[in-house]
Amino acid sequence: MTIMYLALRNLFMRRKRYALMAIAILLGFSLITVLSSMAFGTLETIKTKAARYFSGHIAVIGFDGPDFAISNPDEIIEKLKKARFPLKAIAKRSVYYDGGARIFFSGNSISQRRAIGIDFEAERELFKSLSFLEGSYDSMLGDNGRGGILISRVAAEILGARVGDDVIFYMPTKEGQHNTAIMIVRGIFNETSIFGYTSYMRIDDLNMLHNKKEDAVTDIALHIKEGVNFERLAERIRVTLGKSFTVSPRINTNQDFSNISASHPTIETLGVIPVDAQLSEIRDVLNAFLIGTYFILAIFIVIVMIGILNTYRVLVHERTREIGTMRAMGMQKSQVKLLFLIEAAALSLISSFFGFLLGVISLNVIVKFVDLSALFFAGLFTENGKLSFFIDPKMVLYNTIFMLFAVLLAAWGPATKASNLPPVQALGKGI
Amino acid sequence: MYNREKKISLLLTFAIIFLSFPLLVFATPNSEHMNLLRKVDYLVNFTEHDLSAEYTIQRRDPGGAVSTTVATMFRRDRTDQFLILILEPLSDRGKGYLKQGDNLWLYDPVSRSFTFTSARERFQNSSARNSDFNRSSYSEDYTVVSARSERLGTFNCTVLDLQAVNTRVSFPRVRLWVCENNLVRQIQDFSLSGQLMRTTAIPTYQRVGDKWLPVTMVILDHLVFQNIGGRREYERTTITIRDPSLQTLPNSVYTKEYLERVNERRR
Repeated sequence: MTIMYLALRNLFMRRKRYALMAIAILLGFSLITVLSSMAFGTLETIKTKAARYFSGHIAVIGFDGPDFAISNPDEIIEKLKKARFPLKAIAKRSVYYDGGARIFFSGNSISQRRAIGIDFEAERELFKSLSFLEGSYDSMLGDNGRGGILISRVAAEILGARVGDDVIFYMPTKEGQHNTAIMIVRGIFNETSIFGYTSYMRIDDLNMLHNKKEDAVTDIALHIKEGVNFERLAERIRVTLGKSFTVSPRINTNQDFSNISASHPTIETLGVIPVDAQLSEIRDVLNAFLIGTYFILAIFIVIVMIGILNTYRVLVHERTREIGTMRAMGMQKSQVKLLFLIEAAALSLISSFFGFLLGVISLNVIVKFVDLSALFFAGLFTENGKLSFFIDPKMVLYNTIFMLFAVLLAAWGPATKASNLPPVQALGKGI
Repeated sequence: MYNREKKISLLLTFAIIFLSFPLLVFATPNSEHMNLLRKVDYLVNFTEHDLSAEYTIQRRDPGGAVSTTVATMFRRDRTDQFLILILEPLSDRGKGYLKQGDNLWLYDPVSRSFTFTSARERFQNSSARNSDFNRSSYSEDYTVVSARSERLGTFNCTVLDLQAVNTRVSFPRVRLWVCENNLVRQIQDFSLSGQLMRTTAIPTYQRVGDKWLPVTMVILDHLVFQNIGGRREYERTTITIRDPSLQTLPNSVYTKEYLERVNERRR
């Protein structure tokens, strides 16, 4: 306890000497907090967008020959409900995956990567975060939504369409024949990324266009509660459904999905796909970004460590007489070493704490004032042009431990040297 | 009592015959019109010979931008085969479409690969569909749902409203203007929901052997247009067919190897 007190007192008394090191640690920690929180926030933003586009956080998709179909969706939903998985909502979807859909208006046209028929009542919660430039999600609720369509900002801009306009929606039937429907634009959602090349309509409207039974279903969208690992839950769901239905092997990447789809299963096979699997390419890019940020941090920390090493060497030299006095008064070698290490640890923890605070303030400033809507590629990882961040407590803990370890490692050598000084020699050599 | 029953049954018989008469009358034109469709198909299908010709496909965007594709077409209707080899533009030279029965492949000389494509896809991004190069099969794929007479420019035509009897065809509903010499002068293609998608006009034909081949076809895409100077201008594709020949072609022309070999020679 005395050593702890002495260490903290030394730290306070020599605060000017430690200031430079403290600033370096503080800046390093705030930098890594900003970068990693931004990366996690970006991933969360993409996942939210992807969950709307790819049938929930976890999608159950029916592969039936060359088509997509689930013949008994109610039975599957019942099984999922009974199993009491941490789900916020379960909703049926009918999705046209082939990319042949197109919207025409006033002579202009835009192709759609997919057309999505959704149960607007069931998916209301997930779409709450989707902002609309015109119209609203609620205008699709109930019978009002019949014949209505939600199109993206990018589609509206290309078509020159506004809410209330009649557009021609073109889509081939399941047999490959041309089909069209006149649909009323009920809402224009603010999406400019790859997730904007889609449109949402009622399931029965999409099925009519695709010449399928009006209640046909291709996907079951599962919306998961916060904090749940999608991949692990997807595996549990796959195992549960596997007891009653034919399920595909685990799907971890887009390629797995394409392989199963291309294999044209002869009996209806359910695929359980976490959104991470659909985003495997994007996730790889973000992981590369995270590795990059940690590389920057590592360089920063090496610089900080060299600084700490040099500062402590000078400190040990400056405090030789003090060390001699403490040793003469009966302090053990290990206690001297501990004293220096506690000083270093305290310096690291206090600086990291303030670095974290600075990081959080910086994040809020960035989110509030930085608008990337002018960048065409920013739509993928921003909501309305604004970045978002997510502070993962685990990440903060790891960063703190990492920083602490680095500082202690740098202080170790000088602390050992200080503890090994014989008291007589130390008292004699002091400044 | 017995006489009364006999009278009633006699009356009923007359009533049935009387009521069904219009149906019989109505049914007759249908079979006549189906015969007309068969004649239409017969006149433009080359079942006895191979057909080769040079096709120039000119696509004009509403507003003016023009792109031109020149292709050589080899067609063998008796086996439902064709091969189209793109000659221009230079960037697409060597590309090819090969149809064998129900299968249609697109060959890309850059990647040297064949990919499955669909009859309903646009041909080289024009208003023409891949299915437009097939042999004519209206009488097999459609039934006549109504017919009327109409004058189309200088032609007296029978207008036939057709509905598909199978799902092989791209357009589930078609309206044909067939003139007195049994040649089609105008076609309107509709989607399943009845939306007019294209109008094709065939103003002139050329005689090839005992059959007929269009000289030009003008296709308007009703979904792609611009309002220019108060007028609606549609995307327009003009197909001009030159140098038709009925010379017999070797079987090897209608193969993937042929497309690969042609491109090898070019390299």
